[in-house]
Amino acid sequence: MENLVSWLVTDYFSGLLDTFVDPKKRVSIVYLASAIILALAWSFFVNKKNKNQALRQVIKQLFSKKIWFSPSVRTDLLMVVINRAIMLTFSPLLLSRIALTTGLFYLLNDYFGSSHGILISLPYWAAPFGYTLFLFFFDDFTRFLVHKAFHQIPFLWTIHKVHHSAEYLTPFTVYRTHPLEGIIFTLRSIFVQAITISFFVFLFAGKIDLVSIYGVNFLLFLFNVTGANLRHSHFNISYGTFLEKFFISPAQHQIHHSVSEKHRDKNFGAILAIWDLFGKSLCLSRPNQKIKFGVKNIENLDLNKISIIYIYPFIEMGKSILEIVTRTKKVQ
Amino acid sequence: MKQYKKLGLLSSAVALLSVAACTTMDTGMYGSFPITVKNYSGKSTNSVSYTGQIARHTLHESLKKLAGKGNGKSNPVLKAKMMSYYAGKDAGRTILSPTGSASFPIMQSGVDQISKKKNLAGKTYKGTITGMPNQMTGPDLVKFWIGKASSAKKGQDQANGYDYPQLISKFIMGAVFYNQVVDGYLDENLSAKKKPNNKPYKKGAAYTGKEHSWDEAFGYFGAPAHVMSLSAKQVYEIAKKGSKSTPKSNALAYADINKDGKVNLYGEMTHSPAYYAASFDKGGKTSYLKNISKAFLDGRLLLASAGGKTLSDGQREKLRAYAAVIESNWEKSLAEAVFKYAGSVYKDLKSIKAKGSNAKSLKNYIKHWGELKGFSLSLQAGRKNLGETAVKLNRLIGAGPVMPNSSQVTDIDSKGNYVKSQSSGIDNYMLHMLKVQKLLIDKMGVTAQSNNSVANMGAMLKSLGSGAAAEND
Repeated sequence: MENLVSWLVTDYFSGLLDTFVDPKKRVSIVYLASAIILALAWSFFVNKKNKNQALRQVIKQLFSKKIWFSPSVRTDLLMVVINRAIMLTFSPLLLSRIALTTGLFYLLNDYFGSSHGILISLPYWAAPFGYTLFLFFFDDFTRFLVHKAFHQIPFLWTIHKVHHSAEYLTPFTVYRTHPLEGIIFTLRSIFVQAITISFFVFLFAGKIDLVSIYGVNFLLFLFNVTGANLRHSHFNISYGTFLEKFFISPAQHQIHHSVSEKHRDKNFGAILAIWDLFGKSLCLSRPNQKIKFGVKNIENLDLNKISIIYIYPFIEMGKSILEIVTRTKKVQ
Repeated sequence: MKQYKKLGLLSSAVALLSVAACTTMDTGMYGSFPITVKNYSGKSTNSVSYTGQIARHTLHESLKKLAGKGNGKSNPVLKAKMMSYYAGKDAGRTILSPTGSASFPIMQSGVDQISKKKNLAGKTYKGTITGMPNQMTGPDLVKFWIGKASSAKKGQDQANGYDYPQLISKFIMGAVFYNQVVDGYLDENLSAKKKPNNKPYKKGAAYTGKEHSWDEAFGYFGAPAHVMSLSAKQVYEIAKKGSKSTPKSNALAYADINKDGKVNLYGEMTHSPAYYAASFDKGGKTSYLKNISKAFLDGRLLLASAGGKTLSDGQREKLRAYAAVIESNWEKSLAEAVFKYAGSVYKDLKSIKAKGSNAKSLKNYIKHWGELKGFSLSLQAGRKNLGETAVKLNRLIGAGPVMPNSSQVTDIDSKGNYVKSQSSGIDNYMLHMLKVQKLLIDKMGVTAQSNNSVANMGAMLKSLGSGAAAEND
């Protein structure tokens, strides 16, 4: 009992609080506030509304009762709380970041020892900027890849569907993910960090500082502070046809959440649109697009029910494995 | 009635004795322990004595100082002086280090004030030093280095990359102090036959064989007698004589337990092995100093409680257990030192590679290499053969540092001249340093890990956040 209490106080609640304070987290208060400001400015300057109309638009699209009292959002919020506990329990059991990083580092030295510290004499800014940019691109690219896999591999889609079953989008929808997806994304993050750090420490023979704002990769900070939270909202911001080929706008991500068949498997990118552009999955937004969010619910399940959300993917996964087994038997 | 009187006397004596033991236990001082030798007739009231060991600490420190005094030309006078500190027993040798100052006055200025006719050569590990060419024994190697140091400029040979004060000093820390303790005092001296506890150490001595043996081992460790009441940082600051204390006078306050305004090199000062243990412990990750000191103290309490009788097997077993704690912690603190200086060498080479070598960077590199090599040889001067780990260490570090022009000493000819050859370069040598650090983590379990060239990666990972979140688009 004592252990549980200390776990709750020192690990769980502090971590939960961190979610809203730590600038490394998407839903940190700073980014939430900046998203509201950006929405107001967009309404006023781009949509040419007067002050009152702008305020009304923002309230309607970001704060309406219809959104916040919907079963969908209630589920999102519950999942913030539940997922936190699950991840706290399981993430230490995953791969050790430091072991993987040092292991890779020694591997690089064993095979390419002569290149150790090869970039040591570059100007002082080369290492931090090279490192920060590489990390940003590599992180974003792997997000795109894993995300695409979640959509296109049926067995993974059963897990990712949980996220897409949201009918109303709020910034907290980022937490509407099945824990298995959380684990896979954590592993992705571990690999990205380990590969980047071991590689750069190997090339520059020493510690490299991240170019950061408030301790966050400055590019990630810029992304988050310029309305990343509006991606999961009903507020429609598009960047125009040129920019949307490079950066995924909130409107483009809303397309990604569309239930419509024509929007299926589009805009997998997180920050950059170039991956979708090359992968031919890019869909530009249209002004005043009206999008219905969610997934096709053929089985007519209550996709906002916590038990269904957490357990049903396992049943579906079992079904799809069974299907594969039967198919293989038939072929034999 | 007479019988009752006797009994009363006896019980008060026992009570007094236990009070004395308790006092020691309470304050945790390795200062005064009762005399247990039967029929002792001398005037001493304390059975603890390790003056010879403290004298040797001052000989070691002074020798290090002298090794840096050369002017680059052959100097037989300097060589003779160094030899007198290393192998002589001459009277009147001045303590060249540690010396006092206004803020840190030291009680003794001559070695004889502590103990007479002591030397280091007689106590240096006599086995072959496999980490250097030519199959030299410990004393051979020190004498070889003394010869070289006497003709080097300020102790450094910048062509071959040797820093003699560092090599001599760091090697002696293992080949004399560590070796004497773990391979002698705490090894065969703990057997039933050697240094029995029911007899005085020598005729008329105030201490038994086992007591004195244990005390001398403590003396070699070089911690202040009141070490248990000090923090690792304070013990470290004492050795630094105030230069790392704010205000400077703090160091004196920590050391001067009897408040006479002076630091007694015997019992109040921190000497090199304890200094290194403390320097790692002050980082908070290890407790070598406290583990070793406590084991010494616990062992001494056990000896006092034996009351001058032959130790039972059980008692000796307990002492062996304390000895094992001392040995493993001491060994680790030496391994930490090798680890630390492998990191320094790595950093120096990195800077030489990025900016080219200059007088200062070369000097630092050679100095750190001397510390690395000296400690790595020290680590191998223990009771047990480190086997493959030693072979690897010696191969990775080599007989000399890889110089910026990629040359490296690989042998010493019969006349004592260095033989150099082309190595695979400083890049490869940097890798060797990383491998030394990895070897020490894997095989010796070093945990303080100062100057960890790879730990950077841990800090970098930390700055990126855990990435463990069920947060996704």
